[in-house]
Amino acid sequence: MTVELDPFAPGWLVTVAVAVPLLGVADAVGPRPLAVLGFAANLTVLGVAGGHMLLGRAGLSAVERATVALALPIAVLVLGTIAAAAFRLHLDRPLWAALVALVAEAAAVGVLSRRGQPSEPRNPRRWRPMRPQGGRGILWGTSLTAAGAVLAAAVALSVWTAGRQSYPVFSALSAMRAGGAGRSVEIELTSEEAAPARFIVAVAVGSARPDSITLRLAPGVTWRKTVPAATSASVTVVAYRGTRSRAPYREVHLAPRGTR
Amino acid sequence: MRQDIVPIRLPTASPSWRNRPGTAGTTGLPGRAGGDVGGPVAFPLIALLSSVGTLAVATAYAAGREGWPDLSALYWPGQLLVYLPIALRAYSPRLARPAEGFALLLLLFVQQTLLFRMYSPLALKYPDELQHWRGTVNVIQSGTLDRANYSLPPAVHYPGLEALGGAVSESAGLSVTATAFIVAALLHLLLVCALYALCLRIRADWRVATLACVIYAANPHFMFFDAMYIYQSLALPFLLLAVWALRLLRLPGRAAGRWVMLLIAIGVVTVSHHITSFVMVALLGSLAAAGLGRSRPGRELRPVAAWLVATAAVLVWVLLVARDVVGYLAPVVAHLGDSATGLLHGQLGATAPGGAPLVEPLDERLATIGALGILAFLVARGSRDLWPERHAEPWTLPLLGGALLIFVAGGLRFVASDGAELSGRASTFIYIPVALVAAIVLHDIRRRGLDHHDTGRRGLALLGGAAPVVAAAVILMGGVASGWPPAWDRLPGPYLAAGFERSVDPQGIAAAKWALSALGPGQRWAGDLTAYTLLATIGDQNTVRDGGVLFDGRGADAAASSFVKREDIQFLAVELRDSVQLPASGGYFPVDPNAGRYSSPLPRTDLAAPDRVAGVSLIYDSGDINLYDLRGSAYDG
Repeated sequence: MTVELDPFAPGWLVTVAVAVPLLGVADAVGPRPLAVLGFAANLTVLGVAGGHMLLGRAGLSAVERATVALALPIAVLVLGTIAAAAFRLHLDRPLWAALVALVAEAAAVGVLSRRGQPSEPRNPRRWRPMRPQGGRGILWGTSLTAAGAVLAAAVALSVWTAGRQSYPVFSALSAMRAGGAGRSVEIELTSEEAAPARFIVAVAVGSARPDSITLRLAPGVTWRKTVPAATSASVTVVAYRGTRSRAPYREVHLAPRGTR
Repeated sequence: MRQDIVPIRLPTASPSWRNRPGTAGTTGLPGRAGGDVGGPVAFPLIALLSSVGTLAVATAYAAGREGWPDLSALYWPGQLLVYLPIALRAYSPRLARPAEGFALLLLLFVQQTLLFRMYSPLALKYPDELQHWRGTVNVIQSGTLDRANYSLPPAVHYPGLEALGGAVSESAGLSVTATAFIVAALLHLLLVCALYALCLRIRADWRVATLACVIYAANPHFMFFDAMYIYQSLALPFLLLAVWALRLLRLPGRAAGRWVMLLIAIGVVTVSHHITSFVMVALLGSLAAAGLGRSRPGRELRPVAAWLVATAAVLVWVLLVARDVVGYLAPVVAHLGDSATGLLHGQLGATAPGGAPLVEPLDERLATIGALGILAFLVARGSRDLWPERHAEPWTLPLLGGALLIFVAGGLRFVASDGAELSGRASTFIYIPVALVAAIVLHDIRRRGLDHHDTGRRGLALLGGAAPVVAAAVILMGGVASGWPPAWDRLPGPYLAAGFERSVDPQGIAAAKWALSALGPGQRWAGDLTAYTLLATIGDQNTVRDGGVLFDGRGADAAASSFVKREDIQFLAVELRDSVQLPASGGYFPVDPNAGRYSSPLPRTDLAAPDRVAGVSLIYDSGDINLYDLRGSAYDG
């Protein structure tokens, strides 16, 4: 069994140990791009240093080390969040930033504290990376580039057709009693038609003559109106498509309350 | 250094130079690769071929959306083109480097992840994913883990995924949908890595590990269900990591760190998914029993300790936190019991009351049976071959026991009335030992074949060359055919009544959003399957599963009134397209006693019955969807 010093360079570790809290602060309160950077960097430190601290390098394959480096940040976020919730802490960005920074710092310090101790031997069996041989680099490059292009085309085709998938157009009419005692009714008409459309909305409260409103709605636009209506009065709202249509396009009605 | 891994070895002839397995080192990696014929060239070409397969499936998806029937036939060739080159290369003796083997797995992961996400690349549509989308949104909005998730009540008590998703979404500033895409992909990658690492630890042979992962990738739920943003996707890789960490404890040194790793994995499984946590207890229990069953010098106590810890953790969690999980799972267990009783009375599968019909096309049913048959053969042969090793390696018996469960999963398809779904769900766990045993056997078959390949019988050699292609194709097709989505749902397309993701359309989403904004969360609703899904997830409403009595056209009769009062129903969602389409999934409602028996759509007059009931208000009308307020009406008494 050969003994060698831990391969992690001390300067690197000290830099990490100092940088982690700063990244945590950036993650917690910094502007979004910086926060994302801090979060990702601390997760990486957590995974790599945490795996190194717990399991070392001896006897672990590259895949196993990578697996641990991926699993540990996930586990810390899961278990840390549940622990924080158990202590009734409010779950938000600063809390998660502090959690990740604390654990990453502990992992970095843990690795630092092992400096100077003889570590396990490194796994002598290393993977040889795949490299093209004998002038096959062009074939490699061409094939992989073509594969990437084909995949990009597949994704683009899916995104494009999903984005333009046609569904039946519709408009939604709704009415709800509102106000503390329900003395008014809120009416909404949302157009999801293919093009701007004209509507006539007729509102009848009780036995009174309906009030008609003509409006034009662009796709995705909602028209709202509140009308007074006693709870004992029924309310019927009918929307007609176009200005000449006599057939109701949408219709809602509210039964009077307290009549049963 | 002491050699602590005892690889399960088959009593075979010595391997030829071309396929010599790696020296049984600590990780099973070879010191020097064997022959490297074709290695450097094969991978990029395989990447190109499988990418063409992905493009073919993407074209089939596009055909489904755009209504190009001819191009939708590209689905199966595309699936085969993605899988076969990778599977055959993993089986090939020319695969000479562990790096290439793992690169093949990463390639398969990328392709299958794309195949899954390209079904709906811009939005979450799978109901199971929408349930956890709602849970994650709740965590972010409330800053707690205990806000009710009406779409999946047990998820509140298994909040691992929501905790992870909330943390990533908030910290990275991503939408919950984008977070779900990324987190699900990372968890799927972790599953592949963890399975590879575990197989490598158990078998100490990277070729077997590679092959096992490729076989596992053809299990019915791997490509879709297990790749979703759902709580099982988080728990499953950590289940494998728990077993892997337990295996690591055999190595000298670092015991404390490995125990911490084991406890972390047990903790994540315990708080993330009920079924997986129960499987963990059973699995660690079987490993503990196997360790205890050895004679005293070789008796292993670490698995016993791990099992005790896992059992205690799961028990404490179920008794103190997830107390509702028993009630949640009880109907499933009762249903299985009913199916078993029905079997005793001669009612098989779909003939049992409430059973959905077997609607798979014949070729897909044959592929399903063929895949089960091939894997069952490999498991049977592997059991015979590995049996002598049970004394040398205590994990042999649990491995074989787990693999033999494939016969139970196969039988479940015929015994239970919804056996196809149960069998598919069970396959997520059962296929782990199945894939490893099958990989060990295939590795052995290939080795024996190479040792005897120069016998001069060209016909047999040709047949032998075709057999892996056919077997791989059948295993993949059987897996896809018996998994999710079912045949009618395999391509995206226009709205289908009661069609799960095929029912998620802008009109239904708009109604659910309106319900949340106009009424607030947590109102009590009845509706069909689509309303149940969308109102509970996007609308954050409290929906019931068995509201069929409100759709029989009899209005506020005694049964309907009793139901409304008993379930405290306030609102009713009516999908008028149920009157023009039969239910794609067999039933119109989540719990539908008439599932599989509908010969015509629901009558329009039945769906309009609430209009005729005194005191009912129609509060929302979008053409196909009507929402009613039943409060104070004759329904409400």
